[in-house]
Amino acid sequence: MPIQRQYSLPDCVLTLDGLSNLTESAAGTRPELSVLTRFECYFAGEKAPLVGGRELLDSLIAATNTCVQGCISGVKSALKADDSKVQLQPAKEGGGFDLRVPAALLFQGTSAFSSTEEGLEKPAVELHLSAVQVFDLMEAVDQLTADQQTLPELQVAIQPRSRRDVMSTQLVLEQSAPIALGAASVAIAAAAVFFIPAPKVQSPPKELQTQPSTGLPVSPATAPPKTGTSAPVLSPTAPPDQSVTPAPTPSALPTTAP
Amino acid sequence: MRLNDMGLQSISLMDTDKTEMQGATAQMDSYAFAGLVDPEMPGQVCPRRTRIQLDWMLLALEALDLNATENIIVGLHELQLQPVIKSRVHLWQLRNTNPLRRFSQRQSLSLTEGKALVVLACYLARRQTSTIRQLLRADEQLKSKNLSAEHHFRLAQYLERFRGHFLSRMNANRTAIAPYKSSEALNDLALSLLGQILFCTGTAGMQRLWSSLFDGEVA
Repeated sequence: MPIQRQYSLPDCVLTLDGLSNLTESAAGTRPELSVLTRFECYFAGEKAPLVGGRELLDSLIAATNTCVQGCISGVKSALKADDSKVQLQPAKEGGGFDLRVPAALLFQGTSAFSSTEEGLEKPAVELHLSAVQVFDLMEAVDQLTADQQTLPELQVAIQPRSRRDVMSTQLVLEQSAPIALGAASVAIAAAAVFFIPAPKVQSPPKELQTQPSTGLPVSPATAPPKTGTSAPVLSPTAPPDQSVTPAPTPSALPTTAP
Repeated sequence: MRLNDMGLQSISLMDTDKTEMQGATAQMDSYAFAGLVDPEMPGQVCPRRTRIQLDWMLLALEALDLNATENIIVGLHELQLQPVIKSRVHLWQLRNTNPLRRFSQRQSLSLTEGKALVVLACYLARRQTSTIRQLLRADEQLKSKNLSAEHHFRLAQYLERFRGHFLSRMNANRTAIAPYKSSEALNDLALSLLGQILFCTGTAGMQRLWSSLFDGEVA
């Protein structure tokens, strides 16, 4: 039994044509639309509706859900847009929303959007929607999914997006900034250092090298250890081997006692 | 999400015995907040962004309606929210959990209290649906003609009231408030909140608002 359901809002009208699985329905009851054969989405101000099947409906519902969720929360999704599905995003300039419907989801020849112009087939239909139009689309979708007598298996997952879904782009942006800044700083510093001439190493004149053997005094550290019978004295100028582990002798003990 | 699970129609009458606060709150959870699923939040409290957004949306709703303060109190009675929001002072305290307020309470907002504010915000938003639509349409028309908001009386009135509420109640010394010092930035915020409020007036508006408050906050 063919059934038509319409969800009409001032700026958006969804029309669903389908069949009922039940051969007989009780008199007076509203039959259940269980098989969708044709789906139409009409926006006020547009020339023609978007016409498609179940794929168009499912994709439009998912896109609407994602877009509205992002609008209310103000959090952008990190998931990449799939060109084979309906995309609804806030317009980059001038406010409003951009709706992009791939031509593959539209019934060919039934919609004015799917017709070819000058022999060139459009890969997708693009519409600019106002906030009120998107709200009416959302409301029509909510009424449709809330209707138990129309495609009862249709569900909209209204749930918060996980941190991973919204944070990945932010993390990339946040993390790439210091990395780029650091790399740029190193590059600039390297470029600046490159132009600084390397200092020339001046070797001391040969006369100064030969003088220490005759005129310069010999430091105590380099002086040869004295050989004698007196006890070694602990001093910073003592040879390293003796200052580190001085040999304890009976004559040296009174000098270290308090 | 089915029709009987959503919307204010699902709010049923219940006993409001104040002596049995916990029992009444639990009962409210099963009726008024049906469909609002508790997200997995540590401590079962609302995060910072949730508290800020809820307060700002109520601020925008107050700017829309001159009688909003009285309507909020009426809404508390109509929605049977007294077990959660006991009085006008308690509501003020809950709204002051917004850390950007001048008199921020530095208190947490429980999920039940957050749900009550969501129900209240959606109740007020639905009363203003036609006004919100008119203002958003007017804004689009003005932008298409490159005219300022001053050319539309009601829109200019809303923006002026919002700027006044925002500047008088938010702490200008907070870093998060710094971007909103200019009138243009405040106007953009007011219009953005207007669009968000419109999306909350629908059949599943309450569920959509509640879930969006925790966007990116759950694991």
